[in-house]
Amino acid sequence: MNEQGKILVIGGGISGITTALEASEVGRDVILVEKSPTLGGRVSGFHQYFPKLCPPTCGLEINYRRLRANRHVQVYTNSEVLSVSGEAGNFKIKVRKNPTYVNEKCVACDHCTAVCPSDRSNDFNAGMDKTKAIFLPNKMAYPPRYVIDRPACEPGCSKCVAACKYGAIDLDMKTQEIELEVASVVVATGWKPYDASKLTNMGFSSVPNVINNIMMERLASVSGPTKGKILRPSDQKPVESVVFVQCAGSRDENHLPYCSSICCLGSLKHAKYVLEQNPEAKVHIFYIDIRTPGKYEDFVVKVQAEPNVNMIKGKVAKIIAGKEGGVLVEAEDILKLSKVHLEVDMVVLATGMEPSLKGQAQVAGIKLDEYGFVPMELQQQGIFSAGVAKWPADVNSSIQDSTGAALKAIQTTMGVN
Amino acid sequence: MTGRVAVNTDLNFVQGLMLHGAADLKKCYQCSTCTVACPLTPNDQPFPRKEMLWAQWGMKDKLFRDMDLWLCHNCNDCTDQCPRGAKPGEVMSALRNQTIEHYSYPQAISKAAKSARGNVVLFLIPMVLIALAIAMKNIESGFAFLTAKPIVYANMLPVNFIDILFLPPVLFAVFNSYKAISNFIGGLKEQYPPTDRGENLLPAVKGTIQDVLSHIEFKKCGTNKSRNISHRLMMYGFIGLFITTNAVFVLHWLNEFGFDVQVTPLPFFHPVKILGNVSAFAAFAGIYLIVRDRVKNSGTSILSLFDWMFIGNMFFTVVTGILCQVFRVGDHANLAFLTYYIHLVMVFYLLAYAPQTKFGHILYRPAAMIYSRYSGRNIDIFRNL
Repeated sequence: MNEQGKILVIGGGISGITTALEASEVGRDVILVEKSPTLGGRVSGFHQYFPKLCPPTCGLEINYRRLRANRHVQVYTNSEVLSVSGEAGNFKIKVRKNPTYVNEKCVACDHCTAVCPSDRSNDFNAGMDKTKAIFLPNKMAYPPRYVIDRPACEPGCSKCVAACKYGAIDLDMKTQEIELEVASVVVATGWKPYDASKLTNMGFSSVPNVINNIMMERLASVSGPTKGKILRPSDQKPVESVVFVQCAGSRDENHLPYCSSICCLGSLKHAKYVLEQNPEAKVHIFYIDIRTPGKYEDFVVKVQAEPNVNMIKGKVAKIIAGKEGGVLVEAEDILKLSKVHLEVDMVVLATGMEPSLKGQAQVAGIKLDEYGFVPMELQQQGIFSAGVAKWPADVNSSIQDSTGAALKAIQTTMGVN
Repeated sequence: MTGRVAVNTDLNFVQGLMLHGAADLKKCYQCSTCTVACPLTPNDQPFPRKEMLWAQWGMKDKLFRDMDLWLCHNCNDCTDQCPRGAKPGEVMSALRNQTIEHYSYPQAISKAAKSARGNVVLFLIPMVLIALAIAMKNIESGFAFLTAKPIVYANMLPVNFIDILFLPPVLFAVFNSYKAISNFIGGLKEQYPPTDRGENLLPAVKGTIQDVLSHIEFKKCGTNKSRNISHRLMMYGFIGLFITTNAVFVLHWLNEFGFDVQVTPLPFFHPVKILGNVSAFAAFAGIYLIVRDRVKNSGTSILSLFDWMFIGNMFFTVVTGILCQVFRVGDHANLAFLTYYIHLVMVFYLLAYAPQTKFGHILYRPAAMIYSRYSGRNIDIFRNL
């Protein structure tokens, strides 16, 4: 029906969904490719997100409804873009569809999990709990369909096949490679938290109850491992004192040389989570500079005014295990010109944003900078980037950026460069 | 503004600092990872973060009166963990050099020690003086010492000559040291007035001597831990050589005054000879290890000429000292006397300019460590949240 070519959007997080919707709702055909089994990306894992501090359902649900109602978007989940070749208006794309072993007949009735004998670490909850080997990626998965983590299955097991009344499970499902032709490409591959175990002085992998900011979101979320109660991982004790370590990896030439731009807001938001559950809890935020761009300045002022929030200028540079699950942190309180030694229930490392493509197999045709971001100026004509794939950003500006990317992509399909 | 000055800054000072070892100073963004990484800093008013700030601003008055520069033993744990590559350890080292220059008297010597051209002049003085002395002594005999057997260094320059030649520069150095260090301590007192936590002077001196001899601070280092061995070898070596030199001096004058004691050249198993040789080899091993580590870490550790002149001087003093004995025993007269001449020039440089060069750290550091105990800075007070 369309004379013009299609648009490929790589990445099904908030940026990719936005790009796909903005372009398709004016009539462009869009192919949305997501690597994991569900859309939603990082936003779906948050307890609340800026600017309105609403739960992810409020933003994602309406987007999913727009997607369902839209015949111009074709969604491939559990699929990877392998290569992009050709030129603006005429790209050839190779996509690999990885098998989920569950087909579209699945109605998410959950009968399969009852018979499944194997567990797997739940990556959606940052590894803090387990699911069965057959599982729904998360409560608001799109598509709402189970998947099987085959390496986690017991060899030869097919109990779920018999348990499924709908014939939705196909253990012989094969990897498929497909070729697509599109006119333009938008890379919206987003980010992952920096691997905090590389910060050797922060005790992330050696000291109990040192977690990262993504784990904090999951602890606060009702769909998380603690049903939304902020309990420290080692003994499930409610957290009464917590230290937030800003710039855990960011602004550090040995790790992420750039500012990740969202971690300060993240920790301020987490302080709010903690105090909402326990107004008596003591919250200490150690920072180099508190960076909350634009109108978010108001939020700092608000959190700072909380009597139990203590903001200390000085980076935490040593974290060791304390007594009975406690954690000892050491920093200089620069404004008091004195070192601080604190023992608290839990430490949250405000780990920075690392681009998802960093350290991944290179996608031919997509050019990365030294940090793994996808800057527009490095790409050939007709290839764009949106959201955190391009640079560190919050949800709000990622959405604006994605709308802009949609316009660029549409222009390319119309032969405008 | 009504003429009130909040901070005194000196941008030329900053530039000088960056030229002489602290090139990356401005990269610091004051996160204070360094003060946590530092195994030596007290908890109250910790270093080196505040020094980085003062240095960036050129607040030299504060820095020259800062005892913490000297409580730092250049472990470089801070430099290792610095997220910006600002190298606080190197900055502290460069600041110490600047402090030596600031207090040194006459300052021209210190300035000369920083430049290649200045060092030529500093070397020419002993080269000419010693050459003149040798000429005066030997011109009549037609430099017969060169062919006399066995080789006796006292034939070239008798001990009396050496004592007369070296006494003025030593007195010069002692006087200049006194002047510099008393000004330095005056500055420390202003910035850190003594508190009632402090020790009395005698226990403070005693404690510092113990700390220096045991290298207790070096042992706390993480990154540069190896200097516990290398610096200690060098220090003990030089103390041994200092004692040897004085013993030879005493033996000589005892002999002059009619006591029957052995004078140089001493037999190989004479206790003073043994001390001298053991010390020389300890010093050599220490310097060798220091230079090796410095070269190995040249990526992270920038040494200025001021630093290299010191290390180089120590090295060649010891090497020429050892070679003097080798060539004498091996009966290579020309080489032996030439080496001895170079050795004397090196020793002269080391002694005469001690308070103005990096050698001066043997005055400044103990002075600051004593004052740290005396003022109570070494007692940790915890100010918790």
